[in-house]
Amino acid sequence: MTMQVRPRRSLAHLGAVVVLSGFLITLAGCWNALELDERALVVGVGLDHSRLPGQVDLSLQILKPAAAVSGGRGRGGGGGSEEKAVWVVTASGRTPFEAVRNASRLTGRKLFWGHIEAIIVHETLAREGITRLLDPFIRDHESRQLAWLLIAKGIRAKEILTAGAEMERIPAEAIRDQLKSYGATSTIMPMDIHRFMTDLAAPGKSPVAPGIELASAGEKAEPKGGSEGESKLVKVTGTAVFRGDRLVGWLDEKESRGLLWVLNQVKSGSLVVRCPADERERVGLEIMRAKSKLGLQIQRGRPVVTVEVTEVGNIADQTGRTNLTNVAYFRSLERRKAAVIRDEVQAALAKAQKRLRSDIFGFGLAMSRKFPTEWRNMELNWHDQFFPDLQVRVEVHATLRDTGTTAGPALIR
Amino acid sequence: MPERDRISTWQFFWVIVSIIITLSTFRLPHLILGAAKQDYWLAILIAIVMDISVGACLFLLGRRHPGRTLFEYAQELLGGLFGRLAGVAYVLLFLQMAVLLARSLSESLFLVMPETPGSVFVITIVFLAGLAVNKGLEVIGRLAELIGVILFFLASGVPLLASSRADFGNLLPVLQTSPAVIVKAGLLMTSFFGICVVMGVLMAYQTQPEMAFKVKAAAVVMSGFLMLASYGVALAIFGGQAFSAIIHVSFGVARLISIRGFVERVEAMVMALWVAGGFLAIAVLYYCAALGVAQILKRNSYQPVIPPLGVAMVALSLWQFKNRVTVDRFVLQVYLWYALAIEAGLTGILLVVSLLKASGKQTA
Repeated sequence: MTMQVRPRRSLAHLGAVVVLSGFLITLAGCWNALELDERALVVGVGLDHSRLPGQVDLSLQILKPAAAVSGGRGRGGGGGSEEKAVWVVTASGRTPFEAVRNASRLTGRKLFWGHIEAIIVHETLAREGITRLLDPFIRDHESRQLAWLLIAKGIRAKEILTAGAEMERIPAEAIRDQLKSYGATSTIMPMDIHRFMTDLAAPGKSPVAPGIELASAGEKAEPKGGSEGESKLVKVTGTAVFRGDRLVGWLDEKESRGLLWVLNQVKSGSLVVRCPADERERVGLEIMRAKSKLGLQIQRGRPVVTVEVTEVGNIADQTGRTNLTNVAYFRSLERRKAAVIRDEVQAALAKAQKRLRSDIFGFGLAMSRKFPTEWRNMELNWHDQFFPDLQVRVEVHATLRDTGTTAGPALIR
Repeated sequence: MPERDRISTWQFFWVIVSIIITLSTFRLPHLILGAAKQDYWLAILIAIVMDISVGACLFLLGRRHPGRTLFEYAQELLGGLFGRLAGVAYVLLFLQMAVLLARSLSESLFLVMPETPGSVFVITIVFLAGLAVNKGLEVIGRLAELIGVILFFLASGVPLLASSRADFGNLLPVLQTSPAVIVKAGLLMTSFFGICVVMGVLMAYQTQPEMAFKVKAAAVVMSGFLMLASYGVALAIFGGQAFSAIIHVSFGVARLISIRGFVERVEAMVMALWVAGGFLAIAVLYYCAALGVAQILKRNSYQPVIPPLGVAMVALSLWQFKNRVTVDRFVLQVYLWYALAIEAGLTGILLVVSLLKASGKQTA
């Protein structure tokens, strides 16, 4: 088919161009386009018990775009009080969705859920089951499935949302940053909504979520110039353990890292052991690399799990004066830190198996993959019967590699 | 003959690929695959094999009746009345699939743009597809060549970008579903893949009909394995239980993509897939249906059929179903079995009759 350009054709082409240009102008926008300044961006969500029976309180941390930009991160000159970049609204409802819509009435603007950083649920509310609270955030197409889930420990979620932050103008982003840098100590388990729901649905695995509380007195930020000591800091700490979708208890930081060793989530962190040269002194060891592997067997009809942790690290600091750079001390330090790691893992195992009876390690999930037939008989009673009595062998291979850039402690003449 | 345009081998390849990719990004196949959980891949494999066999039947038929479409040789083989009825059965199959696609498209876009009336999407897409059909096969072939490549990259991009979240241990345990469930899932998947009986129409106008089978098989294998891989990633991300509970697999996966916290919310990729693929697949089916009606009625041109068919498609996509649940019930309980009976059953009958007639001639 050859195209012949004739005058009449080119006129038709001109017509087409005009019509198409018309489309360009009329069709480029969405049907229900809303400009950014007509929306309210939700960055954090908090869920608490309401004073009204059978209702939940929903608090929304809403970004104020103008304040977030114009205030800037630097010091506002001349002691003028810095405007907060967010606003917290609270409304209640019989279901979270009703609360959301009630909150919308207060904001006046259409809420936008695409930027949620964190969803914080109060501890006692989580004890009554959490899926009913998260349901609207999972169903809605706008809300981010990658938002972090946190459990407010001993404090209302609303208070967490109203607390300030120093490094970020948006407090919810400060929470996100704390979660993202969890690897510095590897004592919290960051958990997004999607992963939480996946763990919840998986057979033989219980979900966990990090806790959040207000930092204790010693960690409090210096109040900003002139104002009252209002500046409170939030701190992500500990691990909430669920059974089904109900919170049943907490792991402290040591137990949390024990969990992370097993889940192969330890990135870095510090291990403190007693100095082999002088038991009164301590040596700080940095975790450089860590890895873990699960082994499963069935012995005499009962499942046996082997957790193999491999860790490589350096000496980070020491309180004593002895130069530890020799093979014997290195070996001793390796043994000591292996013991510390094993102790952390055992602590987490003991708490989960005996006290909370909840398989947060996913041993059951691993069973279901490796021994699907045997699993069928165990599935129903896994958390109650098999998991608490499960024999778990912990093998730790800890290697000490180097001492940093100096051979020993700083020299004093 | 109402069609003078030709379709190249390469274009034919992309037509088949686009149809399967488009189907796999809509939620319908998940109705079946979700139930099969970790054994979903078996269902897809069964469908690939079955569909290639259907392709072989169509290829043999096409070679025996060169230059003729499904509708034309059905009338030759089964005689006027039965041949036309068979043609009608195929037309209904194409139309219903087009309606389901239009419905899926508006349903999927409604998910993201709840304030836009669904009819806007349906009317626009059917109208545009009608324009393409009106211009003939060549336009559709060229569209497929263009859009198909884009579809392929989008459809492989989403699982690739999401794979960092995947825990491939979730693909285990395999072979825990009962064989009956797997076979049923495989058959139902076959009827989805089987919509590629459009080959029986397009082959008549192919520039190199002798390549039709190879190309069709290659296209089905490629797009089938792409589907297998993308559902695999989805299963690895969600785990067996959550995988069967989710509705929009491709959308659900795309929502989770986050590249260093910087590139996020790439659902637009999936929406582009829906719109581009939905448009192309609807155009192909619309074309086949229109041509079919013309050939059953022995008209010289299929263009007059286009507007009434378009109106019927819009009306059905808007009013045939009340809500998502009724769509699901219809697809699972009626459509797929009907489709399977036509795609595999009727096509098989045509081939048998054709072979019998030939042997009859030889002995006579």
